[in-house]
Amino acid sequence: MMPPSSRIPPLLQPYTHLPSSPSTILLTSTLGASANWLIIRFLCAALSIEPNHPFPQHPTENYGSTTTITPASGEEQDGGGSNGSNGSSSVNVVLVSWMRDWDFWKQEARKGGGLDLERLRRGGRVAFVDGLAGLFVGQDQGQSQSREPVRTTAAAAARTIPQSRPLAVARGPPGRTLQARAPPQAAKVPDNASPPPPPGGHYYTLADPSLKTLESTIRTALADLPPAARKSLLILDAPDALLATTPSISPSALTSTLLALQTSSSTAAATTTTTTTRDTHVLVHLHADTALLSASTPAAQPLEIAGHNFLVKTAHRSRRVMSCRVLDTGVARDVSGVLRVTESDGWEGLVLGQQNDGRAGNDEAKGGNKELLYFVKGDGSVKVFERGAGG
Amino acid sequence: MSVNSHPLVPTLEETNWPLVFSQAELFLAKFRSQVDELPEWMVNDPIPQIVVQTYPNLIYSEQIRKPDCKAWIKENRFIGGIRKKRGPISAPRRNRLDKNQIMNRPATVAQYQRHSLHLISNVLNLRTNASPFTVILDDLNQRATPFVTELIRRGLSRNVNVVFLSFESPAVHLQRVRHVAGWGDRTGDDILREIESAMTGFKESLVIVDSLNDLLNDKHVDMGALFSLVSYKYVSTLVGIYHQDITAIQSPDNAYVPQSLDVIKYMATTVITCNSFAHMLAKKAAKERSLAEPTHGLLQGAEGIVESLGGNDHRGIVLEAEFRRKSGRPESETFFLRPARVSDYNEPIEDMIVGTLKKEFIVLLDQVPEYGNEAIMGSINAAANEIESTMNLGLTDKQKEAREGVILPYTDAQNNEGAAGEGGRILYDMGEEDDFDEEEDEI
Repeated sequence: MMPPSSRIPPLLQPYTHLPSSPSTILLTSTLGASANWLIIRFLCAALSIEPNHPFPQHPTENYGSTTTITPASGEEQDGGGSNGSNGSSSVNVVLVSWMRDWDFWKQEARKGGGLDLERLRRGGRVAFVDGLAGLFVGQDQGQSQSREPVRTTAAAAARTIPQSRPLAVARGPPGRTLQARAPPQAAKVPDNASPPPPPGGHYYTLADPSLKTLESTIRTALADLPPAARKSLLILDAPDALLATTPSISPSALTSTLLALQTSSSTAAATTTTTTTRDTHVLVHLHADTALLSASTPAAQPLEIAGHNFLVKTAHRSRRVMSCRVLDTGVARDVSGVLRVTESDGWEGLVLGQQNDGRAGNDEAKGGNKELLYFVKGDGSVKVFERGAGG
Repeated sequence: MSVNSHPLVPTLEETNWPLVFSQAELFLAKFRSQVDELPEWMVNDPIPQIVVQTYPNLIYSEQIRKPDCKAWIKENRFIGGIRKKRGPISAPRRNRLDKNQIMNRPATVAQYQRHSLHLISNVLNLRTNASPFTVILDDLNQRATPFVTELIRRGLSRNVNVVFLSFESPAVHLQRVRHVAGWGDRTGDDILREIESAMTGFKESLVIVDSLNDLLNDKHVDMGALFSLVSYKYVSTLVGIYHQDITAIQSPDNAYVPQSLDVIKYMATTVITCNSFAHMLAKKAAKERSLAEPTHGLLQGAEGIVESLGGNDHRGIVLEAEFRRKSGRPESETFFLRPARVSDYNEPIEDMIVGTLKKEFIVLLDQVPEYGNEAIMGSINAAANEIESTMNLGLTDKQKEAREGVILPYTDAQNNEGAAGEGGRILYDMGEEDDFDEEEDEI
């Protein structure tokens, strides 16, 4: 299998590496041009860097035996701001998804990115927060039942058990692990219509749509990942679904929840677990279809305004906006869509010396505003090329 | 100019203009009322002529011209005809010359530029009372960040206490800036209290709100309360960013309340609209060709486009500023602010992050070389002319090289060999698949 980092097309690599300071990145997609492949590429970029003490599943010879691309690209991503040591550059990932379930992401990551998300989750690199099953799948059974945070508490209980290094556990048969580590989970399962969470921890289900639950769940997910990593990446897939399904949530409330997550998680990590601060980057995936955003005349509907405002607000906060859309000129056999990347300066330009140094270095690494074509092939691999260079 | 050569008149730079204006006003008022009665020698005298030359719009042209033009103004005004007799044309206009018109337009372009730059530099450098409440209108195509960064830097360089009320960014990015978080569960009163506590103990503060949308529409803070707190109580400068592309929601229970944008536009002493430099160039190019102004980003209407490619231009930011003077007179001008360099500021002294400013580097947009440059505008025009397609109709270097490498069939005939008179000899290399028929073509 190809190493995950080489699944990122070279033209895309400057954009999938995380900026040096904590920031928000916005991905947008339309109905015809999904951005799932791009999320997978971000996962690849974040997870292909091994922590200091690699797991036995990933022998270090792996690097030596494969092509020279792997270490080179690994270093490139490393260049974001850490000072070289391999361990400090590893990235923890929390994936929150409202539109897709865990199985979808597992398959997509395996197919497109060559990542084994299941193993990475058990190894403590990835946590998954399911916003689909708990909120929408079993909803017929009544709001009152899903209100009690069944799975969250269960998972929390499982987490409080001091974990021995999960190397042996992770490789063991799943059934045994479940019995050993999370008996409350097994007991609660029959109450719910949705499938039980897979064993191995780092799997959470949102039990109710309130922002408070969302914030606390994500915060525990972030805090629970091993503190060795300096950065964590929080991927929010389609939080606009929350706006659509829960009218009481306003765009600004959702924005401020995201901000709270971004700030407090880094400070919490600094105070409680380790001495190093952990930067939280947030990757938000939103839908930018015209039907969702543009106000209908004569009277705009609240949902349209909310969707539009949330997108614009998030875009204002984002350092980098990556939008997928279909080809302007129609359908083509060898082009899936257009990827537009726009970048803007953050506040760190304030102190001049830093700014200029940063700029000189950054300008080469980042391509600036650009438009690229991409083609997602049947086997999940992606080709990214400039206009006219597809041939 | 003949003005400068006259021995009685100082050069433009030496002149004490306020004094001149006030004296000239008295003089001119008298002069104007009598201009028709003046003797010929005085009209022809160099001194009034100089006044006339220096201040062309002080005196209406007809008033200056009249003594000379009397001869060819017709006397007969159709008296007794169908038309009614009209009064003398110039009489009612004579009094229209008021103070405003004297002050309105500086005489030369250089003077005008200096005046405009003085205004923006007062705002940018946070001079006391230059602009107590500045509103910055931005959108996704050009965010206010570069301008606000410069404002903060100028504030820090003058040791002004900078308070940043943030709804959009976490605290960690800004050093030496008092960060007040506006998001979360805080109410409007909490925010006002925090701002006040951040300002106490400082002589001069700069309060920046990074999203007035949230402050006014979400936290329901009264703009007047914030304004009176910052500007009256603490005599400081208030700067607010308002994102124009966020749709405001009219509250259904109070439909007659003005939109918050209208309120802040009404209250502001300076309104600054941010534009991307690339978009301004495109706009100018479109104007020159009498085309409709292009739209960008979300306004473009193409599905899936959020930001435009030309947005947030790293070359600099274009600011359309409207200054409301104390007299109530508005003045508007468009400026260009490039990103600051290390060389723009002196070395910071101890305990400071930013040194003092060496030389003002904000300029009028018209002064930017790229903006007036024909060649650059031409290239933008050319880009606009290109057919938009997914194919690239240009050639890459590799393709160009390959094309140049192709040997055309009759190249040999043009060489000396061909010119030497060998005539129409056919040069042809036999290929493998060629079947040479001896009988048909005998050479």
